[in-house]
Amino acid sequence: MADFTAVKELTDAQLDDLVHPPQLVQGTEKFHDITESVCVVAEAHRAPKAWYVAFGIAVTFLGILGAMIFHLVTTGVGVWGNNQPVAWGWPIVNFVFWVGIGHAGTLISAVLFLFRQGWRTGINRFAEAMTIFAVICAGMFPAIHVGRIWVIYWVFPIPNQMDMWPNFRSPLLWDVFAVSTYFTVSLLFWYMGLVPDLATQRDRAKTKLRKMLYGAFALGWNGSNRQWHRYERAYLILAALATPLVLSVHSVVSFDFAISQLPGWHTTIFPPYFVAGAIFSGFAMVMTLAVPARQLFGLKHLITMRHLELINKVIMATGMLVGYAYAMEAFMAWYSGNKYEGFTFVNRAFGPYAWAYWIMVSCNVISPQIFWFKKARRSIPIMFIVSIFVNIGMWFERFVIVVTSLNRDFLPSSWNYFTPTIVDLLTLMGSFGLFFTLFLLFCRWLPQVAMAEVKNVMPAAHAHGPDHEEDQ
Amino acid sequence: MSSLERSESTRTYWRSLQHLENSPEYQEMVAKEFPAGPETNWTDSSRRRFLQIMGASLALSTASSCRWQKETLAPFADRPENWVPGKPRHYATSMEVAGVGQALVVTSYDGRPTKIEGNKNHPASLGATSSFAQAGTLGVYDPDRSRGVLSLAGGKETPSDWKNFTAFAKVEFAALKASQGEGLAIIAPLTSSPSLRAAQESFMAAFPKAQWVNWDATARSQELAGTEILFGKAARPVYDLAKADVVLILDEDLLGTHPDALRNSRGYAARRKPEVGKMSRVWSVESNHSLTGGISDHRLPLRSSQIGAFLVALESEMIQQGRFKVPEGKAIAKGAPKGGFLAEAKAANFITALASDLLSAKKNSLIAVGNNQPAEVIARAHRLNILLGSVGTTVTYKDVSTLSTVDINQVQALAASMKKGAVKTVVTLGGNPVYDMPGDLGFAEAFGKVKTRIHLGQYFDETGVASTWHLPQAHFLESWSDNLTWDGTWTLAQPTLNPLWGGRSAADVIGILLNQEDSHESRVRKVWAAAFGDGETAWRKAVQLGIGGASVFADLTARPKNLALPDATPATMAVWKAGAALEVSFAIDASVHDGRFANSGWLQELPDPMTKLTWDNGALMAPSTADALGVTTGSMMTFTVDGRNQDIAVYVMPGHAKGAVTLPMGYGRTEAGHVAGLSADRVTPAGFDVYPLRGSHALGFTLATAKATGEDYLLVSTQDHHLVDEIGMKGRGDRLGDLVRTGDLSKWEEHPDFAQHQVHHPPLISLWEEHKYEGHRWAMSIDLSTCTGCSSCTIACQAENNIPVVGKSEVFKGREMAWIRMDRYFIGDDPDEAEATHQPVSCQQCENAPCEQVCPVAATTHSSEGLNDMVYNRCIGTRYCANNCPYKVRRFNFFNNNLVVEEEGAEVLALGKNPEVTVRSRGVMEKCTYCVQRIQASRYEATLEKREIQDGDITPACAQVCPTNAIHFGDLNDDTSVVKADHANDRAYAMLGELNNKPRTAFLARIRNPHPSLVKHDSHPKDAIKHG
Amino acid sequence: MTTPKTHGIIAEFDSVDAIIAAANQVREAGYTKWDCHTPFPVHGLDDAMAIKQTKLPWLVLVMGISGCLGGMFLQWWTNAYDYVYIISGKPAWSLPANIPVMFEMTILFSALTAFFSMWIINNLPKWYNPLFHAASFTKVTDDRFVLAIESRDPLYGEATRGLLQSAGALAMEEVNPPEDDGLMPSKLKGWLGVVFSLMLLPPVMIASSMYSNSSEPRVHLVPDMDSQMSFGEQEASSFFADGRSMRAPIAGTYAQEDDHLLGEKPGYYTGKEDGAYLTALPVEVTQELMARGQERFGIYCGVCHGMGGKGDGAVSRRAQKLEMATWVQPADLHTDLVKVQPPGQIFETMTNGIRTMPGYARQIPVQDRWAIVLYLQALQRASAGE
Repeated sequence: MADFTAVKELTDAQLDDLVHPPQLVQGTEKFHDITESVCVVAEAHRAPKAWYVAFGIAVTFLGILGAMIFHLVTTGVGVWGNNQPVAWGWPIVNFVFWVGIGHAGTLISAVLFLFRQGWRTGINRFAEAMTIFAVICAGMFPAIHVGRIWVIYWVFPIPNQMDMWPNFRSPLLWDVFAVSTYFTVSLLFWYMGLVPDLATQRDRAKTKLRKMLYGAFALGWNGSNRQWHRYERAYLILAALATPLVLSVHSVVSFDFAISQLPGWHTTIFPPYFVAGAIFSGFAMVMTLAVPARQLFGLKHLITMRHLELINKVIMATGMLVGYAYAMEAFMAWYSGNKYEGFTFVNRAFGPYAWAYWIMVSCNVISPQIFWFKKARRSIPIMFIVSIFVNIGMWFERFVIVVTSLNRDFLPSSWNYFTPTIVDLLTLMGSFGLFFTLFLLFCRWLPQVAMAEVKNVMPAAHAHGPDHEEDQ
Repeated sequence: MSSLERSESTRTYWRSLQHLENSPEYQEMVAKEFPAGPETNWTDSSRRRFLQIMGASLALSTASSCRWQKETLAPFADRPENWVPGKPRHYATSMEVAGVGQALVVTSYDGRPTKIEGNKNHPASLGATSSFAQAGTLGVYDPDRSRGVLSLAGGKETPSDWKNFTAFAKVEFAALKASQGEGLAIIAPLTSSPSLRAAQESFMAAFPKAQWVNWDATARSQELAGTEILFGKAARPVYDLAKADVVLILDEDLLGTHPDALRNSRGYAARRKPEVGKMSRVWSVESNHSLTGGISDHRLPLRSSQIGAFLVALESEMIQQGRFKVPEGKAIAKGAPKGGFLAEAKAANFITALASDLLSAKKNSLIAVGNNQPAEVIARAHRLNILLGSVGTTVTYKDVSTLSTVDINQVQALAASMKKGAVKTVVTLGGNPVYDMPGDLGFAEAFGKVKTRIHLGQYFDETGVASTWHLPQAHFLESWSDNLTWDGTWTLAQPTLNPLWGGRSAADVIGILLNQEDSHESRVRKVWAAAFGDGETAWRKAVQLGIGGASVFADLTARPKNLALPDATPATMAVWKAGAALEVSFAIDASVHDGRFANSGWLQELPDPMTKLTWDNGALMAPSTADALGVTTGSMMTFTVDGRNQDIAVYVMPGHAKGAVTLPMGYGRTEAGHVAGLSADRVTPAGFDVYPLRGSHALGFTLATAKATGEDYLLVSTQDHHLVDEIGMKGRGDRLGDLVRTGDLSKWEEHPDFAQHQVHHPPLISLWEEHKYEGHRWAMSIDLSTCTGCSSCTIACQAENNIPVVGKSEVFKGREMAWIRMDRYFIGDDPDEAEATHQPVSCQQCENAPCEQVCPVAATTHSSEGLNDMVYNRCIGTRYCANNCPYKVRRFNFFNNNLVVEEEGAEVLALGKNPEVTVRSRGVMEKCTYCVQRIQASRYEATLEKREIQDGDITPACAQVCPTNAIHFGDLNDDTSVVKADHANDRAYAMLGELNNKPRTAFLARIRNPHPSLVKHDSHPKDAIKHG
Repeated sequence: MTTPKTHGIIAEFDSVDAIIAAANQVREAGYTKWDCHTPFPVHGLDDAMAIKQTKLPWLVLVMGISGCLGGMFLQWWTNAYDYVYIISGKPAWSLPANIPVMFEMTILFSALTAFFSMWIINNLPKWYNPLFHAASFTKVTDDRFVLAIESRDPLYGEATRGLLQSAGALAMEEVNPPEDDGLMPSKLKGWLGVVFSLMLLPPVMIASSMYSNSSEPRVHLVPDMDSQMSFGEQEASSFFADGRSMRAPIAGTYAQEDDHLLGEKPGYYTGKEDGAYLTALPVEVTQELMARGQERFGIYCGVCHGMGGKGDGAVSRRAQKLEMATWVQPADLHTDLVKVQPPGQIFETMTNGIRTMPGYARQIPVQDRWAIVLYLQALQRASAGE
């Protein structure tokens, strides 16, 4: 029975010092502490009660998701609220929402890695995991939202006797390539980071089964410096590749809208606006997950208050970016003098969906402003609540973009109000079930913190005294 | 800027009342996040109304196995002469509605009727058809049709057959013969069929004491009575709008539900194209806001009871303006009604302008009056025609004294004697009297008192259920017949299908009752031969053309001696005030007529041209009236006429006369079938039955009281599925001038191409060299100036293209499937004075189609002839194309809407599907194809005949059915084509052309011809529409 | 694989500085077959061990470029070459629309290359590594730094120990893997064999079904609109008693296509007028009609009666060649027997057939039948003339 309380008594400040000491501290045994506190989670015979409760709930919703998809496939897309003119309803809203969330992980690992942001090491591992699970949820929606799910494979350029190829002018097809590429690369990136830690777990494994499984996935890693050399090089390359990729993916997703000529969609600001939104929502989700996780698994000395505060700063910054985008959109609509464009934005803010618009604004633009105060930035409950708000707000942002633009476009004769059905709702909740099921499994069985990397940024990891760029 | 132009700009467009409303409770409704409604997704799929969504079971695949289905060919062992399998053949035939024939041509595929068109060679059709005729193919294959003889003796249904019935009839009628038909009554639907008339005579000869009563809820008896006052004999006015400069239409839907609407529309259209001769000016005075009212240049909403007074006022005004005399002399001018509604400026100006217009037009004027009016008013109206000398030019009166008519006194007498039990045997030869008799007769109860009740009908309907014998009636596509069209043309009907369920025609049944065995064909031919002389070749020609001979009605040319009329009974002049009794008038419904077409899914889902309601009727009333009564669209009200109650949902109808309520007939059927209502299967009736409120003494209109019940009912229309708030209303106002481009005649004369300069946009330049279309360039043009909004195109398209019916709750969700929808907008600042305008919108076949580039699998691409093809089999259903379509004309199969065909007993529906158009399955997108199957057919034909396709070879279903020829189709690369000329027309504009999507469908701006003295003046320059 | 008795020796260190120092010494001592094992990449160790820069980046670059070009080619081939559609009036090939996919392909190829080639160059995954036998080696992935010198190294010997000792090793251990070690356990081998053979099944099944015949229709997984809920020409239908969806025309009805049944002249479609055969054609005789007649005669009559009408058509000749007992020689149309027949009679024969000759009403429209009559008469006169 592992001891989760090992390091709990320490204050956040003290924990902070462990990783980012003011000046040189002696202590190679710290390496072992890291290993210990991370591995102990997976080695424990029983997870904390909270884990079982959470897992139970998650699996239930996963089941609901399965049921909904079955109902959908056997009956038809009509089980959702989609109609004319709102041909894209919640499924696409959810897709964009999840893809957005799926951005923080790679961003944290890749971009911050390139910028040598040492503090990333505490959170990058499960941020990456989160990315992968979010992208799985995201990828699911476009797949199930089509009318004939059983021929979805036609979107891939598979040679066939009729020479029927996909249409590469379609943003949806770009999406297919972007999202699948993104998923693949994120997976590789994540797994590559995992290997040395898996080796650690292999070497600590007591039972034969564990030895076997961890051993198999550790690929026989033995920490040879020659391996490390190429490993680091490859990791750097992947990071360098993932960075533009991460920016491209949400840009491409935004093309789904920007390329069309629908008022409210047809706008050039979308790519940067979507990317900012993605980072925003991604970090919010990281926060939503990190707070309970560090509590639950006693990783406070690895995911420290300093990490959280930095995340909050990012949230606030991107939140303001998003707010700027909202403003610019509206401004351009007015400035363009296009009556259809103009109407769309008036309609968003004051039309039948005003309620959604204002939820979006208050959650995304107003709520993060509280982080101007250091107290708020460092208060666990506040940051948790704000992160939840932001998640909600970002979902509504996508709802506003998709539904309010569609429900009133050019011809008033086809204007119609979109009303979701219970199936819509349960499917969305189900996708959360899927996400948390995967995430909880990850927390339980895999190293949630990149041990090798954390060790790497510890002062003791450096031959010639403390490296000053590390604790900026 | 001239006052006329400014008058243009005063238009605030809006589509239904809510848009002018700002009441707080209404705002709150709008603010509701998810308004209530039949939003229950899967629960209502379990409902047994079979054309609604089917359950999950079969949804995935229609084939039982996962292998290709084995298909077997079943050819004829001995192929009939001149018969090529799969090559459609066309049979001329006709149908009869309310005693008026409609000339048709049936497309028969492998011997099965699959489509109905108008008979080009027939003066009453000219190639166009009514919606009812269009729905005929669905009617003949309706799974709900009665499938055999039923004996209901002792209240329990026992399947029987014709043999049994014949045996029964032998005995029963032998007895009756003995008593010369004492206690025998026949209730026959009104018919003009000479052969049936002959049968009736021979029957009456055999049973002299029998009562033969004709009944039809929509019979135009008042008109006959009115003309009788004038001419001394029943006459029928046949109008020729093509010759009329000024048309005055009194309380009549001349282009909508009038029996001769097709030809009237054609005539109207002939005078509404500014570039073609002098435009006519249409004035209408009516209670309901009818289709005809919607297209007229000036419209005065008046209660039906005030039309009489209006007429007198008009006459006296004409006298005052001089050059006009009436037999009563100047006296009438003095005794003319004053005050009341006449005191209102609008009415006064209207009458002054109208009078001068009529006087200047003289014999080129035309006054038409509705059958709802009292005989005296009708007489007065037609007298005006005579006095203006327009008889012979714009209107001809036909002597119809020989036609069978509906005599309401007979009907009352029959009901009475039935009640007394004096009637022992009653035979209903089709029709549904138990349902559609006036409420005050208590007919159902009286009917029950008769011992033997024999019912012939296509459906086991209300009357069938109440009978002791039910006999299946043959559909008009299944039987020989003959009838007379409105103008009296002798029209023949040949069967195109043997009776599916062993049905027989009324004449056959009379034959059985008389115990004679000659076939209906021989009867028809005998009567025809008697009239026109026999001869094999002549007969074959007549049958083939469907025309037996010219009009059999004599023209009444002689001017009646005495034209003096008794003083018009002083009608209520008062303008309606809240609290006063309401005036309810009964109207023929555009979708189900008097209820006889109620069980047609196509017709039920066809939006009413004006209300856009589907699956329901409603109590139509003016906005101000509704406000006064404190109700709005959807509120239930209890209407009471002489103690007879009925609950009906209110529909607020802009432009309706104040204090009047219009009740469309034909809904609330309880025994119609799985579409319109069937008590046995707990299928709730569609709409509300208004017959209980109808009185046999006041078939047209009567006084009623109404009280809100406080309940709400969901009325579903294809526009404004939900309330539109103020912002929506504003946005709509800003743009509609650009979508539906409209101008007064004077404006058009000043600059004919105003429509092309309506919208300012940068030059439409392309980044790349665009595709050149060699060969054909198919295109369409729609003339908004002649389009009346009758919506026949919608249903013709549905019939041609196997478009599924989705049911009320799906329509509510906005999932209706119509490929061509009729957009209807109300115009005007005052909801009570609203004018309507229509715009048919189908796929515009854009050359730079926005839908194409976004499809990931290239399921929609352009053909080399510029058609925006939709490849159903390639479609995976991302619905992206629908999002990117600025016209929102793409329709998605959210469910498998055709599963009904696999339902027990519904397989018969598959027989009627057009085999040349794919039946779309679930999950694919669909839309207008310009009837590509017809293009291909003509192409093959041309190829076989080694020639080029000529202009006019190809007619899409919508163009073919259009009564006003507003839709043209052809090849833009053919310089001689009509469509090319239309596209070159000054009025031609591309809707949303500023998107540079290059639509192939051009709209021709609507030109109105208001009287100069009545042109409104600018009130809100802010909404001014920019001019080029 | 044959391993030497001793794989080598490992020395354990507890700090970054120590291992780097040791590495330097070992390198200077000239050892070649040795390596350092650390829980994380230690900066500076590369220099200490004099490790050359890996070629990996170049590999990635090459593959990235090929991914980019591949993406470009894929789009050009599919949309602009192999199957060109007209889409939104846009050109079949325009770079802007194709950049996103090219970009994604670039990234994908590069990433896959970087990932997999890294493992390959590191020659991982590796089933076996003798060092794992060293008890202390497991700490390498935790907090210990290990320097391992292989016995394969020429300098390997007693001095090695001393060298490491002086380098400050905390502990040293000789790695002596057992003899038979490094071989894959036979159990595992067995399982792998099973898995592999199972993997072979699907392709085998596909191949077999490809090259075998079956009376069953093809498998058809997406039937959506292939089986239509409507009736095409001559399709069978269980709805009608006769099993046909096709309905015979009703007696006495006339379609607009039936013009030929509405002849003006009496006897036009029977060939008879009040019982007597027509003696003159009921149709206007024109050059076109004659030509038509010749053509139709060639198509319908010639095969049996012969192009010249001498009863020596191809069919007949073949029948005689095969000496078919039941074959009745078609009539020679130039015999008086035929010549005397009035047009009406010939027409009727054509319509209803005679003796073994079937009626041709179905194939030949009335107008054409008269055309043939006309041609036949001409033929007869011609032959009479010669």
